[in-house]
Amino acid sequence: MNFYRTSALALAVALSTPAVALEGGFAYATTADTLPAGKNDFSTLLTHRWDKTVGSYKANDFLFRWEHGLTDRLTGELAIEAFNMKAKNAFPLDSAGAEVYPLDIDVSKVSAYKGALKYNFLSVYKDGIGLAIGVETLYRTWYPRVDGAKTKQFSIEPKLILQKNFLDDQLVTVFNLAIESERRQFPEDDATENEFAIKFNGAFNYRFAPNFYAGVETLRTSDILNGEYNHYAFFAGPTMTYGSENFYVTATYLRQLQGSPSYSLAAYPIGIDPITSAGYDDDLHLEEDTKNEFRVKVGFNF
Amino acid sequence: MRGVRELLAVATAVYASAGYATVYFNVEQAQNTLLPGAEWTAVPLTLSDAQRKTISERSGVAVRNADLKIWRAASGESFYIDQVLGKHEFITYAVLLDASGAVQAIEVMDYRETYGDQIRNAHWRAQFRGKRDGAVLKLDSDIKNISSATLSCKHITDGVKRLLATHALLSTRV
Repeated sequence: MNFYRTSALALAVALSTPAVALEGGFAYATTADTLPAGKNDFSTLLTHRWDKTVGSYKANDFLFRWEHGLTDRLTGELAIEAFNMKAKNAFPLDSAGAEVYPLDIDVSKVSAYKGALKYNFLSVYKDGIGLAIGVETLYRTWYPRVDGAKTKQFSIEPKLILQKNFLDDQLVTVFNLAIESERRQFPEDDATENEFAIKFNGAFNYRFAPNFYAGVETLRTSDILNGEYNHYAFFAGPTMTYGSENFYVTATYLRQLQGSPSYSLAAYPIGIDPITSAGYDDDLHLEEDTKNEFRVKVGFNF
Repeated sequence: MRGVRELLAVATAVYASAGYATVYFNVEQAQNTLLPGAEWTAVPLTLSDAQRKTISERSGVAVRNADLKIWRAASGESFYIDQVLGKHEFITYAVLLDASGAVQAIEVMDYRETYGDQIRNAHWRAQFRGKRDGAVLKLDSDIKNISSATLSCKHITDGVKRLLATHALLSTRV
């Protein structure tokens, strides 16, 4: 049981923390912009995740985030994360007929605490291309993916942020690359694991009317667990933003378009019951990921 | 989805209480501030597609709006009102050109963003005085940037550059 849970936790962290983002525009990706010194951005991100094909699975992640301009180029962030999850018969049994994950889940927890910094090296408005480097640290006590298990995890995530604007800044494109290094323990057996999660975000939006932006976001995650490649998942979908003087709302829908098989022998050497796992797509990763995600970000500047 | 609706309701309520546009000058106030006592005659113009293309090529800045708001004083000065993109909203500003086509002054008429309004600083605006069509007008070159207002600085600078090219092209008609 611990092996399965550990593996799932290791595989899932890539999507566990929303990307640091400022000023709306994207719900998953982030721009190279930083806040001016002394200015603040308070945002709430609600991510609804659903559908693993088999059974029912619905989860909501909540992130409450405060960002502050430490200097004109350096922005600091503090955030707290919570989640709730309801699932029934969403996971297959193993080949011996035992539960890999609980079949009936109903859990709500405050799950993680995060601090981050982002430094802007090049301004997209002045230098032609935007370049920022960010670093996030996270302490997690409950895992919001898979079955919402208790855990104790520390992670650090350096991030490269590139931005290029076109059409007098009406068309914004961003590319993020983050590598999250995680070290986690499980209270049940005090085992420790190490993992690298590699995350790519590519996105664009276009200001098609005053205050309104529309575009596309993509997200690709891949995990390396204890030195071995484990799985990947690729998401893409539309995004729309309304931004004004003090307030912005961004909504993004992501659909998983491709991913590693949900329950492979590499992750589950003893195998998964072919009957209870029937229906899981071979080309999607539905163990800790879902088919769909919808995120709404609401932010205020002051 | 109930949570989403509640979040949006809270956001709307906060926005309604906190967010409002800052308008510093109307047209008449801007005219009286930049050139007190002048009598202005409106000479609105609509650019043709060919003119827009010429101005874009000449200035390196896209012409978003073909309709120009121009006034001319009896003493030869021209007064333009223009808009450029801010972070989310438009920034409205006025440019006064002397009879020779050089910038005499600019003024920010409204600014609706949370930050970046340092472009209203008189010292920053004074950098444009004397600029003519063909001037470099580039941040950190002949126009100093304000690091916490880079987007606004760039767009105002580009806007002035575009207006100078527009004025040069239309000067025989304005």
